[in-house]
Amino acid sequence: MGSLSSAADAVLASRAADGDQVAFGVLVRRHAPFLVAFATRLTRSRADADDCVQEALITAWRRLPDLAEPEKVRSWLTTIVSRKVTDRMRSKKISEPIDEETVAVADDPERAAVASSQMAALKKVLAELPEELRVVWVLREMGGHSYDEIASETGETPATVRGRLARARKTVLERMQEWR
Amino acid sequence: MSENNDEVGSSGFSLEDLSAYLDRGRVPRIAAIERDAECQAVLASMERMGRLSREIVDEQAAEPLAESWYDDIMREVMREFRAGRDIPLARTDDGTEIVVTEGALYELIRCVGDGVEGVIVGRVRLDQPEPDAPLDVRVSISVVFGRRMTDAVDEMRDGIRTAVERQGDLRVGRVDVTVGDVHLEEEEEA
Repeated sequence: MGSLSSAADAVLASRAADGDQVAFGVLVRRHAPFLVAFATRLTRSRADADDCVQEALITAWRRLPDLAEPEKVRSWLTTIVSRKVTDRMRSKKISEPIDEETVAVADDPERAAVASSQMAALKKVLAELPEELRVVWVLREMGGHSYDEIASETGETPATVRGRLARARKTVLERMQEWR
Repeated sequence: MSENNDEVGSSGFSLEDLSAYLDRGRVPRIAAIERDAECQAVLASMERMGRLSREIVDEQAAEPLAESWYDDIMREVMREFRAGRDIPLARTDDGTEIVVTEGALYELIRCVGDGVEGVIVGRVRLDQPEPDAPLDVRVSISVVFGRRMTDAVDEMRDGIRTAVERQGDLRVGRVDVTVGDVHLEEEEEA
């Protein structure tokens, strides 16, 4: 694989679109950890996240020849993942969340304590948000998607997205009050 | 427009207004918001929570995925080879035609790139206006920082012509090489 790992996303995506499986493998390794983390927050389940991301990546392999802007491959992949997740949610195939928080014990508990308890608090608040609010929050704040993109991913209007995001933020700010 | 009547302080703006303003990158600037202390505090908290949620993702993304996780995907991907069109390579005396797929020629051209110092081949496009016409090749490459681009381009062009013409009767017409990217040596990337 050699020098491929130093290639830009656009180069790898172009090669992969031309059928280079090895280049696709490098792209997958570069972005999968982010995609799984992103999908975990959307689905609240690591197992569902794994399934959705794996399916999404195989879909991406098939659709790569249609990708118009290969330099935007990461955001394109994020969109495919969020579509897979929202499709599943619509068909109610997402399992009820079990508290399976993938807790990696911090190396330096003293130093990490404050930051991580704040993070843990936010994780909990996000997991408890109603699904429609959680989805827009994750797509916006973690995925960096625009209102229009979120609207097309969730089948809502941009105005609805705007309202839900405001409600999500309001709830998060209220529940995270002690951390603000 | 906003049915949200929870006004922030006495600013005249609702939380939804502030939320949308934040997502527009606070552009165009609304002085009444930027000068209002309560609005500023709410915006700062929203930003902080956004940042913190990205840290949640970063934290989890720092944990490597199992090799078997990748194997599941790559097994599927390896099964789905994209061959593309057939391109005539040679014709034997008894009229049998030997063809090569576009996919195989892409691979051949990528291998040429592997043999040229500091070059990574990106997209390859082939064009053969009519069946026995010379094959036009367009290729986009990334060149390692510090390498002279014109040298890399010349080596690619010669390498492609030689590699393709060695395969059979197929002749190469134009070879357009575009430098679309520059990359750093491998060691530079963690």
